[in-house]
Amino acid sequence: MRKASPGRKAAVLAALPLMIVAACGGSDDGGGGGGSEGGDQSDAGPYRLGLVHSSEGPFATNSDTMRAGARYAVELINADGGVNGRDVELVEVDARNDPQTLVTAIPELVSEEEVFAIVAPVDSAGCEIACAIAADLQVPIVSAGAGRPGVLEPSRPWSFTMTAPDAANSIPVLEAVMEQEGAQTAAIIVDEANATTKAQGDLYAEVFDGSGVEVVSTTTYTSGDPSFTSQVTSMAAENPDVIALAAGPADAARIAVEVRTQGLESLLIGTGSLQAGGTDYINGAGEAAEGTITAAQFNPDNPDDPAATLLAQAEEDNGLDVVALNFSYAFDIVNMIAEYLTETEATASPETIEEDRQGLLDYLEGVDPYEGMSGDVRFAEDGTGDRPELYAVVENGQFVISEVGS
Amino acid sequence: MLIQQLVNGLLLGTTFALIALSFNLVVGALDRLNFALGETAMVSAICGALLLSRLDLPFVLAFLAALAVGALVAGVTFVLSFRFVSADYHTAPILSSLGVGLVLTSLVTRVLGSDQRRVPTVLDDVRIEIGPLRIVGDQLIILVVAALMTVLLYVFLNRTPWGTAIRGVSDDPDMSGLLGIPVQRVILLTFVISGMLAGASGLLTGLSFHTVSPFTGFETTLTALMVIVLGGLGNITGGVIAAMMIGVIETLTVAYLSATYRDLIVFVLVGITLLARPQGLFTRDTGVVGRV
Repeated sequence: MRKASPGRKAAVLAALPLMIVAACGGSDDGGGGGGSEGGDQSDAGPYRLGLVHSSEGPFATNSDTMRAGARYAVELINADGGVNGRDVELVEVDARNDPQTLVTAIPELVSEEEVFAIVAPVDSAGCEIACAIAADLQVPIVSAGAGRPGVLEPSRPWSFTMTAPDAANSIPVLEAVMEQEGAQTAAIIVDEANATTKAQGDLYAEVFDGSGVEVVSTTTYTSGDPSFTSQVTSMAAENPDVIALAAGPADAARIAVEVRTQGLESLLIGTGSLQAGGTDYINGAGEAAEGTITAAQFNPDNPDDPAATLLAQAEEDNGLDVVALNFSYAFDIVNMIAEYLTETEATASPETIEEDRQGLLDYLEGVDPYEGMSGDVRFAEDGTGDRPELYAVVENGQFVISEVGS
Repeated sequence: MLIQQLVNGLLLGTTFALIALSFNLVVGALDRLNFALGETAMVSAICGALLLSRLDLPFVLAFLAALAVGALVAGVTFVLSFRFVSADYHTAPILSSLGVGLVLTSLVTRVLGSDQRRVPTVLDDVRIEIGPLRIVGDQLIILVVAALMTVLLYVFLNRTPWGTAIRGVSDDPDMSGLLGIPVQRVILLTFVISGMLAGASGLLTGLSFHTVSPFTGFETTLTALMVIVLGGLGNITGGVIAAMMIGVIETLTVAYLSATYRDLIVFVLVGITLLARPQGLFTRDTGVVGRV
């Protein structure tokens, strides 16, 4: 177990002024539960949070990154004394990109594991199912990555996502990029087996329509397809100025390599999802990723505190070259829940858990803004994150973030 | 573009052909399928990819290492799943080798993680253009190595004493044993050679696809099964032709129809073949069910 360094404590304090509140709270709940009496609740056992990740599927790496961010948040919180004197515990479930697993896992998390709230799957397809089930059970659930338009509709008001919807964020950004690059023709390659990437395909069509770019080729594949030679050959025949990647980051990386292997010099573009899974994309594609432009909503080099301090500390503690979007979003989700628990001294005991969950819901809806590792975030009426419009260019193996119009 | 896509399909087929050859060798020796060969290819490919990307070893050394790993894994599979299993229990080796495959996948994901591994381009600057046809350096490597391995296998089986022994055991193990051929050692050798072919197929496929994933083992097995059902179980020439057919069909389906129909069309073709010619398109021998 790593010790909390002074720098890490500073990071915790930057994100969690609530710790001071916790330290000052003197009331003793007497072990009796009942009401959100709080203070030192160290006899009450840990606060349990569910976390649903997926070790398989096109967004498996994003999921791993999300899990790492949540674990890091819990590690820091517990190293600093926990919340209300209680540790925070993550109860993790691997959904393996299987809807059926979600259908059984979410009720189990709630009824068997008695989790207070849930960190939702990072991908929109998984989030949509998990959030709907959690909403039925009236458990707050927050995703660190779901960005497909309408993904939260079936599960509001219990669901939230830290991400701005792909369409809201990516369309204006990519339209500006098309104008900036003077693109005339484009090809789109779509993963047909995934609802999120299919939505990305529609998004690109809207971008190209809006910016007057002619779509000369649309090719498809299905997640996990071994080879992209055929698809890229089809696109190469049209020699497009731009190739739009409606793909998970690992698949996008292989497409990029195939594009460059076949000697195509087209500009590769992606939505914010590609930047979110950036490490996987860049590691997978290597030099072929250079020059790729994506929409972005998260700046890993954010110069403003507390984000800057937290990002620097996370890089140091986790040996990261750069903090990924899903990592920071998951970190912030755990800390937001911890902040609520501290501020309200909620016990989340069986007697009060329903009331406390409703309280968390109200807290999340009222956040204005939460200042965390991922920057400032507040939630829109539809539960999606309100984020800045940025774009990212891969330069020397890293995403370099710029503001649109800069 | 059609010519280019046909060539792409044929090149894809060459990687299928190697793994199908690998399956067919084992079927020839034992009349059993080694369902861990897909995972054997995966493990070999990941080892080769790591040597290429992490240690910057030349492709030739990484390729030889992949062959060695494939041989080792196949040898271990033989001991675990076939050597001591009674011939009376036909399904036991199938289930056992499936289990070995699952263990291999779990081991790789536990030790090396579930990430895809990048296979770096070997001949980055080589690109041959003949009219509308373009072949890149790595495709050239796949073509040459696959052809070389097929020829070497043919020469080994037909021109060496051990190759003759393998063919003898394949035809009649009892008679071969009575003639003094060490049957179990010959079968082990067959497994080792099939593992080497699987290793070669794994790394060449990785080179073609630019990555290898720990989860592709069973998919590889499935593809090989399609090939040997079409080509005829144990029929090496038929297997090569069927592999090329499947490669071309898959490539043209993706290019001109949709990626979602890729497997469907091949499965339909295999289904029709099983109904109409269960012995395969290119053999007059007993059908798949009768052999295994």
